[in-house]
Amino acid sequence: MSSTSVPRWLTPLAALLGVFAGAAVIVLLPASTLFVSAPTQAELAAASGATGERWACPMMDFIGQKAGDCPVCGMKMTKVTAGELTAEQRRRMGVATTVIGTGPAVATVHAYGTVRYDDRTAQVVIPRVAGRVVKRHPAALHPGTIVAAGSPVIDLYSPEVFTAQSELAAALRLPDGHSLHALTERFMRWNLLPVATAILQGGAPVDTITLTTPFAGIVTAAGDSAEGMAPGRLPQVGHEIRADTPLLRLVEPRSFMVVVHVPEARAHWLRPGQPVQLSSDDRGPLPDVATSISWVSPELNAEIRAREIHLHLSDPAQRLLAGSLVHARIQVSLTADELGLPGASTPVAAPPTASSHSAPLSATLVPKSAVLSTGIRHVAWKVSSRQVDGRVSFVLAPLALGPRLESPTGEDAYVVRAGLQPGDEVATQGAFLIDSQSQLAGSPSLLFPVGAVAAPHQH
Amino acid sequence: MLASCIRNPLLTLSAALALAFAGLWSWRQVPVDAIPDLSDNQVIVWAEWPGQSPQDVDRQVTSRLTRELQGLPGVATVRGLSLYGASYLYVIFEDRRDLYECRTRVLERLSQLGNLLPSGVKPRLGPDATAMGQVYAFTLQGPRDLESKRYLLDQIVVPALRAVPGVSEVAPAGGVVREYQIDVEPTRLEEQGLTLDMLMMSVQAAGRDVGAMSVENSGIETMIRGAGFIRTVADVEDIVLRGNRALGAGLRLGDIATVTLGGQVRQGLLADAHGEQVGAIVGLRVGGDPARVIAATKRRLADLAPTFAREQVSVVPFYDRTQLIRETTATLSSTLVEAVVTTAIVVIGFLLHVRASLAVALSLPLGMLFTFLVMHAAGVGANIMSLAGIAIAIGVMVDFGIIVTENITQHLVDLQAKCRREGRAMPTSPFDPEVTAAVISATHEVARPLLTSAATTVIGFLPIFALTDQAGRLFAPLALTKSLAISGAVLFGTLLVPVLCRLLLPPWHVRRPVLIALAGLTGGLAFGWFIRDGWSLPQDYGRWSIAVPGWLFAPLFATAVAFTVWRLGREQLVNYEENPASRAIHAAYEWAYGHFQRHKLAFTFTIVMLACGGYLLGLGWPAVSTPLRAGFAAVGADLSRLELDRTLTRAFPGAGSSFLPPLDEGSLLFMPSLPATAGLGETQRVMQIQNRAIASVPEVAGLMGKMGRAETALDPAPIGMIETVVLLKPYAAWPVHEITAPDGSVEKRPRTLAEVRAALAALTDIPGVAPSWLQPIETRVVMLSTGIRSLIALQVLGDDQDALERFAEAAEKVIQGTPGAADVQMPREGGKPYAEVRLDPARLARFGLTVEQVMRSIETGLGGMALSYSVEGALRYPVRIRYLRERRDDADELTQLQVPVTGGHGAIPLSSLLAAPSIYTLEFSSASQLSTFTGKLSLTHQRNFTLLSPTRAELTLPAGESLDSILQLITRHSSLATAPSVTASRSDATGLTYTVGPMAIRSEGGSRTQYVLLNARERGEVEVVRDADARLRAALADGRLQLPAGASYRWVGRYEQKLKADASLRWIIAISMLVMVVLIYVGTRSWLITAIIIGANATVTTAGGFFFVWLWGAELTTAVIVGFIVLLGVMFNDGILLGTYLHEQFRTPPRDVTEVHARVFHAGLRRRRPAIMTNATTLLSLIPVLWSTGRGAELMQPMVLPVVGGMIFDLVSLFSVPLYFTWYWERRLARAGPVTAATPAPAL
Repeated sequence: MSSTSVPRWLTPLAALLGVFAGAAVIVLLPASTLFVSAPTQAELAAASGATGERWACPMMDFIGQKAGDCPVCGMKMTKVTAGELTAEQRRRMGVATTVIGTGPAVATVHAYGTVRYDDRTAQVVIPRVAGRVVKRHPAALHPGTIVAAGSPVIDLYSPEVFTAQSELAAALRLPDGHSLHALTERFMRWNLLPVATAILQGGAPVDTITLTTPFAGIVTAAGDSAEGMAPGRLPQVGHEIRADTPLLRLVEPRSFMVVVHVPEARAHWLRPGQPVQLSSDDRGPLPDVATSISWVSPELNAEIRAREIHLHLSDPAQRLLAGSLVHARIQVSLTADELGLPGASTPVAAPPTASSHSAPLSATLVPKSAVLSTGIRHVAWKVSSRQVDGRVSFVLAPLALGPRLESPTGEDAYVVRAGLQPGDEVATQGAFLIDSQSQLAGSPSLLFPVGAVAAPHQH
Repeated sequence: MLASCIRNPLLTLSAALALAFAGLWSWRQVPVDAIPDLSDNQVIVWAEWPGQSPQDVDRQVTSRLTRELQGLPGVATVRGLSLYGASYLYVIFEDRRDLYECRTRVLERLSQLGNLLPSGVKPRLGPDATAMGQVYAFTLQGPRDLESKRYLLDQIVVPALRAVPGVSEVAPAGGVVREYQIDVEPTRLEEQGLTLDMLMMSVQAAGRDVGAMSVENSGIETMIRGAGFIRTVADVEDIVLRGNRALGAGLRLGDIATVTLGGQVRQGLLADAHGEQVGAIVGLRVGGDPARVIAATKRRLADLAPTFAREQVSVVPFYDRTQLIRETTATLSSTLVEAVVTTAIVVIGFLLHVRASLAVALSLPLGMLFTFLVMHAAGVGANIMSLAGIAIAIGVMVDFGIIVTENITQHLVDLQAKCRREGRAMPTSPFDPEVTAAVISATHEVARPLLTSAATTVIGFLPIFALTDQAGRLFAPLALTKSLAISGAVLFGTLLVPVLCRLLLPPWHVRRPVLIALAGLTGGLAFGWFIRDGWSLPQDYGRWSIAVPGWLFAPLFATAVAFTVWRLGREQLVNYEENPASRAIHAAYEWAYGHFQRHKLAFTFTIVMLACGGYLLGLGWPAVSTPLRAGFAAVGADLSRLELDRTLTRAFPGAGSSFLPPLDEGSLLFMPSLPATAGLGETQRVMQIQNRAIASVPEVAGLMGKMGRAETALDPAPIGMIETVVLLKPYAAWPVHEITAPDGSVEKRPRTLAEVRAALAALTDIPGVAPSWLQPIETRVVMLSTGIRSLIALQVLGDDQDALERFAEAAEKVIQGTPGAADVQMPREGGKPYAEVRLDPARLARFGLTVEQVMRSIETGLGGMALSYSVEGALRYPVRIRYLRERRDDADELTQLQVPVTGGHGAIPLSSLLAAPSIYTLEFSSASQLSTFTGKLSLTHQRNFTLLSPTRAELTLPAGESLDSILQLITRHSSLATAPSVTASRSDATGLTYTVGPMAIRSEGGSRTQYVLLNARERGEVEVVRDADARLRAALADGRLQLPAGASYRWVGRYEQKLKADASLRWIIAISMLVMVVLIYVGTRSWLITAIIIGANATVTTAGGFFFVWLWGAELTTAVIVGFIVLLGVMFNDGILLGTYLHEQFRTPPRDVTEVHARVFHAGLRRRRPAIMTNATTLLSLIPVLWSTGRGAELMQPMVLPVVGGMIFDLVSLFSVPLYFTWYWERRLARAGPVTAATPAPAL
């Protein structure tokens, strides 16, 4: 305030000195104490950490991208690798694993079919003489009657037989055994030897004869090729019967044929000899009825786009009825070609029938529950390593899959064409979460085959 | 007016009483909620288009509707969401428009759409409820199965609750809705010679009730009706498919198909820790009273108790807003009561006159009741914000009463002195004309300054109404109630308080025995009341609890009451200037002023340090140094390169800033999300695991997880989205844990909320699940106002959905590293696998089929179409035909679907009609070539690329796409030496075309949008966004990220609200400051004093505010800034009054320094005590707010922090104004002297 004593020239001098001193200090001090060096590219990259590398605080849900202490609570962070799970995490996620094994490459085809009598056992009762029916015996009364061989079928008024009997009786009186023999022979041809015998033994000719069945079996109407229960086709009293027209059909009562229609898409897998399991609509599974494909139709039914197959079987327990609807599970041994396995590009040399008798091929099978799929891309999460502290690392295994095989217990499996070996361990439960974690981390996953970050930016 | 009021005490008192009663009545009527309704003015439009993919819905419904609705007047934006089979549009209108008018406009436009939309798509309006309206949710629990519980809910409970007044909608959630399912095996039908078509026709033909005529027989009319509706499973089984009259037997549906009563395809489910549940969510109508509606809902549920008892179910609420409302209002009311009591004590302490204090204190409750009256009239509800407005105002409210009372006392004392001079007794009757005249003149004297002061306080706060959006909705009630409360206080202060003073202040002449008797009586009553109330007084304030023993307190209490009554009767008129409190203040002030006067430089230095420190701590170095930074930038330098800057930034980061401190809602909302690929089963499994983990935390009272959506337009969640409401126990019931501190010491205490949240987060952390922890109300508000379910989000807008998604995914990785950013995730809504049925026209032609026929078969066979309905109770349930489960849950089985051929028997499997993709086997020369090739493929093709061996792979291409073009593209664009050789090609056996598409498509204003969601934890939202944005920019700059063409990004969420509010507040504060400067000048008429007040006073006071905010560890939320505006309104009062007196004293220039001192001292004398007193009331009335710990306190405290800090620092202004004024005159006198002529003028 009272600074009048200060010379005028001192003020600019002091200012000048001050400027010099300040500049000197700035110049002499090491640059690092004053300035922050510009971050380089490498530092920038280090600051954000390597792609996909993440560090998590063990206490909190903080996740960082570089190593160090947790910025929130100060604990040391541990490295998180996508796909690496601790025992606790696995428990929470409910991860279950299973070891990949091999199994017979046997696919199951489902189809519905109808039971018929086995046509192969059908035998037809044919009267060899013409006549008119005058009486029906039980065998001719109802379809479905079981008859023994030799049981009577109908009584027939047959003038022709009467005439023949008369001739036989007349020939009996003749010394010429030649015509007798010829006449007897005629009766034999007519299957009416008893009638002839009766005449030979001195009986009088009768105009009504009883026709018997030469076979045993169950009665179905004659001339009926289909299911056979259509009424009205059995001989009726009063009907004229011509010679050599079928009268009755008899089939083996315990033998059936099942006609099954298999949809087009699956039909090419079928070959005669493949085992089939049946269950009927009303009686349920029939495990004891063992059967196999005996015939595969060479053509497709154009109307319903299905291929017909026949199975022959016998059902001693008689649970099946002709006309029953049955569900057939056909066990199809697949060929290497059908499995899509390597080496399949060479055409199969052997005819299909040959392979049906050999043992089914062995294939690597992965449980359906282990496969994550978009429909085309299939992946599984495979155990790559196990640490002593209980951590398990999973690695993505892209799969090439063959057909789906059904097991009777409902645990479906896929044939593995590539991507997994027998002995590999895969996650069957929790695989989705492992994949999700990997997707969140930007590592390869189901939807992002090479990871999210590294994916190209072209569209 | 004034005079007549004072002259007619009876009239005034009865008017006040009437007003008080009206206020009381309004108080009971005002709707009560926890916080104001923050949701936007929005109308939800939704339309269903069953079975359509999000792309189709977006293209044909959402975007068309968006275009239509965007043109409506007043529409701010239209947000769209296309899900599988449903479209949602959120039409957000400008704030000021009436919701119902908006709804009408939207309806009007929707009715004029014509055939803009695909047929069958009917857009509808969502409920007139807001996001905050989900106030009550419950489940029905009991031993019944899900289906029957849901039946009960749909049939009885929901209709009953819809009828409750104020309920906008009741959305059922969870459980299974019944459906009649006819499971058929197609090949079995085929064997029977039936087709699906025949079955469908039969089912459609079954089931109708008819009314026929009536017949009259012997005078009795009998009505005839045909009963044919399907009512039971047996009815469905008995549907006749084929009859044969000749044979007598018919084929019934039951013979060839399995009919079951099953559940419809689910859109969502509810589950707690034990299993699935059935429940409903009650939505409140806009403007409804939550507390009242919840109570009515509960009453209605109680009415249904007999039904529930019969059905063996009980109602268990899993969300109930009542609790929160009750707790917040309890906090607020106790705070208000404490504030009133504190203020009254302060007033008594200063005035030391019970009757005068009574006159002052009475204006407080009356002012509040007046506020309630106007609130009721204006339709403003009671909630934290509006009640906080009153709490803040209390300290100011009482000032008016004090000023009036004080002035009246002064005048009466003068009258007393006059009487003594004239040698006569002071007239003691209140009805004495002399007393009345004194009161009137005293009131008149202060009325004008009082009104001005009130006006400045109110006007200073009025700009708050200029805030828009959430901030506006949040703080407008506060501004309203604060202004109202102050107006009420002025009203009562000028009209009622003089009347009360007139009655109370003149000395009373109560006879001593009567007074003693009265005092004894009241003392005894107090004693007795205390005994009746329990012999001890438990005080539980959360932080401390103490039981006051009765033997100590009862006599004390009785004595205090008796003494008060005694004082009431005996008090004489006293001059406040002479009471001990005033004397103490004077003595202390003079001592301090003397010291400061001697050490002016030290004082200046101190206040400069205080100001700098406050600003540095509160705002932080980066904000404070902004001008410096700008200066550096102007000359081309970069301040941030300086190590000093780094150090300062690290040392003074400043308080963080967010929009709002979170209200502790007492419940949490856990929202984990799974990628879109997740199915119902896996999501449910994850939810159950997490629910069990949450339930194992002892602080959790209950929980309920919701997956997918409840049946309301307010909840458009896809199936992979989980929302679990976690109810916490009341804090008192939290168990004690042994907690090991980082230093190893073990502490036994209940865990804090943050610790519990951390524990919950740790327990529920499942790899592969992206978590998000928020609270129910805040989530709902954010979700419906921004369309996201986190507090902050990066929104990317563009046209190419795929590109946006890829960008967001990459951006997510960049943002994840930001410190303080939690729950960073991009909603993975893009990876939903689709199996497409693409038909081959040539094959269709071969079989003579049409696309429609095939699609109909698909729809029916896979269970998509309801053929008929059963009628049960009030509702109808669909009848559907579908294939057996094993025939539709595998892709290879799906394609075996039988499509009936036209006219006649037989059917074609779907696989024969498909345009099947081709599979090419590619042979590579080496493994490296293969990997190069893979890298060049687009993502879609990468997904269809299957490795067979290191050198062989398969590529699946949809029909119509040629391999050659892809190979050409790849070989042309790269230096791939040799293209792979194609060794084999075949067509895909199943024939379906698989693609990966979005699960949901979001759009805003017509363009597609994608989000990266995040929440801020342990840091301010603004800082997190700033850092995240910096990281993003860096990544964009160095090429790690590439913004897709035509795309743009921005940050949205509550952060946006903060920025908007900040922008408005910047103007508001600037204008308020300007107004204040003008007011100060108008008041003081001196630029010098104005400059001193602004320079020395305002800076220190605001710095005090910042300092206190820092000390409290709060963030600079919008609430805090509003608190600063409150501070702005009160901090200049002292300065102005003191300045006015000073200016008057210095009308003539003083002769020497001594005279300056004398004049300044004289000016200060009059103003010192009232200034300290008003400061003290303002300050102390706010202490209860800081002290309160209950729910809702965390929202109020930030507003109070700056005021408390500022008022403490404001004490400086008592010294600074006279001190600098004196200093100025000292220098001026010194300069005027002859000796100092040569010295430069001192800078001020």
